[in-house]
Amino acid sequence: MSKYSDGLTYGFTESTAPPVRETRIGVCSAYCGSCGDLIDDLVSGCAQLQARKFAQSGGCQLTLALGIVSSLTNVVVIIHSPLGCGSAFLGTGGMRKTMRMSKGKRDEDFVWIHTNMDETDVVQGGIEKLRGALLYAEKEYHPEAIIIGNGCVPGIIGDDIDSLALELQGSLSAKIVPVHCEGFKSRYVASGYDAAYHGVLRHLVEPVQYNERVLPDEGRDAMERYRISQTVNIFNVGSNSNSDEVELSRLVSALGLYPRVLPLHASMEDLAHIGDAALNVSICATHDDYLLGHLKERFGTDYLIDTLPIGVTSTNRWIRLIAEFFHLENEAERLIGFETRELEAALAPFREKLAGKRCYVGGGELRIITTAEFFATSLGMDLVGVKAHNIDRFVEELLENLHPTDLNVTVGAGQPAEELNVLNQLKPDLYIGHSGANGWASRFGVPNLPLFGQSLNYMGYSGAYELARRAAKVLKNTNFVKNVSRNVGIPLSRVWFEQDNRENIKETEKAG
Amino acid sequence: MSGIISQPRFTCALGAQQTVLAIPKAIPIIHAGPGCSMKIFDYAATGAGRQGEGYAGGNHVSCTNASETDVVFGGEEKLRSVIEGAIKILKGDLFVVLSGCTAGIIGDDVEKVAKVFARDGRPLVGVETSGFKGNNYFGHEAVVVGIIDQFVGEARPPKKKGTVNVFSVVPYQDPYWRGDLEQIKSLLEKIGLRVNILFGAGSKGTEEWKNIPKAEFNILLSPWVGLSIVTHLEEKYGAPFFHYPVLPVGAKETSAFLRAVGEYAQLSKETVERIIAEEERRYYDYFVSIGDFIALYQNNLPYELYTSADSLYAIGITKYLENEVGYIPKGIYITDDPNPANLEQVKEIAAKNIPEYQNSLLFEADGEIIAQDIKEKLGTSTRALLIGSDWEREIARETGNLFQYLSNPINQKLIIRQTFVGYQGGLNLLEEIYGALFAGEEVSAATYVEAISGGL
Repeated sequence: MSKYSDGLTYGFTESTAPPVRETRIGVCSAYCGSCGDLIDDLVSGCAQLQARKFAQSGGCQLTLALGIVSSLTNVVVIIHSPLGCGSAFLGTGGMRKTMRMSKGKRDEDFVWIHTNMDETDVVQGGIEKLRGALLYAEKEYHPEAIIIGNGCVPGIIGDDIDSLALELQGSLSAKIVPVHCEGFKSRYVASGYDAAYHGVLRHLVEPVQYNERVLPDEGRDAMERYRISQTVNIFNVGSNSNSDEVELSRLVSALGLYPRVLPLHASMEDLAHIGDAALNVSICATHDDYLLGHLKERFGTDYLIDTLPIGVTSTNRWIRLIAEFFHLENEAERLIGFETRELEAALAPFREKLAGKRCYVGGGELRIITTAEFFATSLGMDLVGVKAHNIDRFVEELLENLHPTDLNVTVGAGQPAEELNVLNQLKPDLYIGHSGANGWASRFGVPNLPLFGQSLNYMGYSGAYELARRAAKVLKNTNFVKNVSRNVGIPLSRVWFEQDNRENIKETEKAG
Repeated sequence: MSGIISQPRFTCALGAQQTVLAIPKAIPIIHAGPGCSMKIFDYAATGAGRQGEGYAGGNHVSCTNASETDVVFGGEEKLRSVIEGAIKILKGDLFVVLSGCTAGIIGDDVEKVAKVFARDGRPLVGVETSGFKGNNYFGHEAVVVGIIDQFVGEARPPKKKGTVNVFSVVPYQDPYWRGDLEQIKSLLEKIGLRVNILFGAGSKGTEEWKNIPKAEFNILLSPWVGLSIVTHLEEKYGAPFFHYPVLPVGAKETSAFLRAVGEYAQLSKETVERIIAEEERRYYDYFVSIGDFIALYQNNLPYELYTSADSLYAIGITKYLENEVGYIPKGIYITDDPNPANLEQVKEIAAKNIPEYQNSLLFEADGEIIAQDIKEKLGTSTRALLIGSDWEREIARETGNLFQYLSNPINQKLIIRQTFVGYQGGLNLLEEIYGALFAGEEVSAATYVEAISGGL
């Protein structure tokens, strides 16, 4: 159930690695202009050809890929690369634990091992070291799966990790999951999600084999079939919190359906049952179209990839689409009516404080567009611009609904220099941004709010309330950002601020 | 160490990016795959006590974000374009191009590219820091030598008596580097030296770096990291170096350090002794309040000591707590992976400074092996103080022991200007250690009845 994925195919599990997103779905990763122009340029295909002259550090798909698979229960991750490739995990130590504990799951350490490739390995190949690491992981931890994250160095020198995995598979009790997430291979960092799910689908999703009952029990079989026919898999993402999952599950339950949250923090058992559902529902196409599309081809499970349920309009839409699939339209309207009546009343005092203030939103495409829509429509704020890490086909309709058509749009992962240039022109009263960006907004004197948080609720109706409450709180006392911006400089030259960001964009010959 | 490793405490050579960022108004330009720079930042700034972007770090670091095309056809052209942008867009006094693994394997020459810009009078330096070449201690030394050779240059100006360059902790790899360097500078200035501290808020930036050749001598305050820098300076500028391998923490070691420097620099003995006497008087004035506290709470206080940090810190902190506070070292874990030649030297330093506890020493970069050793030695003890990183914090929580942060990774603490160096640092450390004692629950040395009846 997604018109965006029309024409896409997902049968790649014969190959060791999935195609990168540049070739699989097409993507725009550099753009500066208006929303209307971007839509036209996406259709003509020239938005996808744009690149930067001067660039700041982007993201690596290895981090995102391993972020997904390392969340699974009872796994060990091996990073096959020089030591620095896993350094991002050192900076987020403890987060996996926090998340697992907030979900009431068993408190597990995140175990990862580096093959720590050195100059000799670059010359001689790193396969023997990787073999050692696999055997060590098996012996030391007895995990259910050992995941190999392949970095740039083995990718370039041609270490054949798949043959090694195949060779050792019979002699280890753990399943070996090679994940091809070499950073240099994709400009679209979200390719890492495909790399991760490719590994999961190839090596970990093995449907449960049900045996026939010795004593036939038709009643029980019928009940099981019924349960599956009413089960909805909600696909969680790294940036949602447990309270988001609780809220979305609550809404799905309120329709009379059985929600089940997957695949982050899932056990091997949970993954084995991934096909036992009537509908797979995405909350962010950037994360999981590859997974949902494949599950449809493999198990025939229908899927819904549409919007991210942030704010009133998007949550309503998300509920209606799920309900439509199960023919529960009346139930959906009753639920929406009840929830929005209460919420509208609760939002009123915040709307009073926020209406007319200028806001700017930066981060992942679905999250920013839905968040921006909420601040504009439900809270009466004046939306002055958005900045997306990337833009692809999954947000075409959402973009068309963004107003006004000359809305300032920047596409780029990170790139604070360009973003500060935009903020300098637009002078918003509130900035809502992805981690890494908010500190720069502070230095510019713009009060700001994180776009997501591991322990905070953003999604559904309760999330909408929380978001409005926090925005109002941020604007209540803005002395900190005033203080910072008056006394701490920005490293950008005047020349840069006088220049239009479009001058930094160039057209390339190759898409992606 | 180049074997497989888990729970590491350092990153790859590209960590040199943070060394550049530690020089005021110096800007790194990274020629590497997308994300390499951010990973370094995540580890060495976020994961080092939430130190933040600084002047132009974090996602503000210019980067070629090397792609498949660059790997196939070479990325020097793209690098030139990013350099041109960076020097136009970013306000900096020095730009340092660093290469990552992709550039290193395909043979892009960052030094050569930087030289073309430098020839036009641009302050540009290029240093090869591919991740597979070594860890960030290696990267730190390489980038400092690179800046000296390519930016400070061949000048041999007359030496200024009493001016010194200091090479000590590795910025960001030492999470307390900002406070430490300020403290070292202030101590040395007190005894009459003029100090080029080179990194952090106490440095004058590139102007100070340009003055490196004028120094009368260099001070290396570190067991081995930086040795290649000061020997290089000796050859290049003819300036000798004074090597003091132990971190001065607390009164005894700080006084010893100041005496040794004073003697080497031929400073007035009278002045140095006067400063030491004054500092010690103040130190013990404060120390006595801890004395009362320790006497009262003796039964509740930990006394077994486990320290996990690099050779500079592990030896310095252990020595202080053993020698001046009365701890019993059970485990001293040295995590900075010195090469075989330096290893011997560090062993000698340890033997000299903590002679009675040689059996507690373990040279190990793999955090898991350290964890196993700590757990074995701890047994059921709840009278231990664990000093180290997030990894040791977990063990302390599991076993109900006291914990103090000292080394990376540090995710659950905000570090701004804290330091454990010098007289002040020794007191700071005690304040933090024993402050934590009250964080979890109420602690009392006396029974309830004793407490309300005034101990009678």
